[in-house]
Amino acid sequence: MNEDAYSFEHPRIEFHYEFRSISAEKEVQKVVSFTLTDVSDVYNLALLDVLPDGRTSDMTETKNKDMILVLATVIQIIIDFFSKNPGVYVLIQGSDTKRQRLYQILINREWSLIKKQFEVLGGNGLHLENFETNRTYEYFIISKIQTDER
Amino acid sequence: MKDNERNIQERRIVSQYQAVQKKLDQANETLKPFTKEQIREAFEKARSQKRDKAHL
Repeated sequence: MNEDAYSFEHPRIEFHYEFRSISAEKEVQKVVSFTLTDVSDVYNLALLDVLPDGRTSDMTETKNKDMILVLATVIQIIIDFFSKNPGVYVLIQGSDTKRQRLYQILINREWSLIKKQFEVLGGNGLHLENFETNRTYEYFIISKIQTDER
Repeated sequence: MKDNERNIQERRIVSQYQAVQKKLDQANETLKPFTKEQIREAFEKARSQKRDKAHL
């Protein structure tokens, strides 16, 4: 097979979840996407809002006064994703410093709940360590705690 | 489907694809120095540190 061939791209491997955030003021379509990265078995988590005109917005910008409910839903989605994809890792990273800080605040706030379900590493550059609530991280990598490890 | 609805639907698909791709590119950049094995080892090390701490 030494024939010329067209170059091609392979499709992204992506798991896609949706839910609606509902308040007295508005309804917002939320999208949670897990996309396989270049590192095998490591998925990137993307949180997005779909605006009424079809454009997407970072979830942290569309304030619907239900952040705790949204976070609880996202945690349930992550649990569901891990149950369908055991043994994988998920990278969580804000697209800028402000959003990363918000993720950090949310993880800190819900840490007592999160640590029962997940192992969380905090990362700064090349350094990865056990997540500590009093430290600042550039990104997080999480895995699901296996039942027999609890 | 009306034209307006179709436009919104198309915009949604394109916008969503681009937003996810942008975040994926950022993730690949962050993960560039790592292999899956190194990440697995980092979790192993973290687990062992947690166990040691619990025994103190």
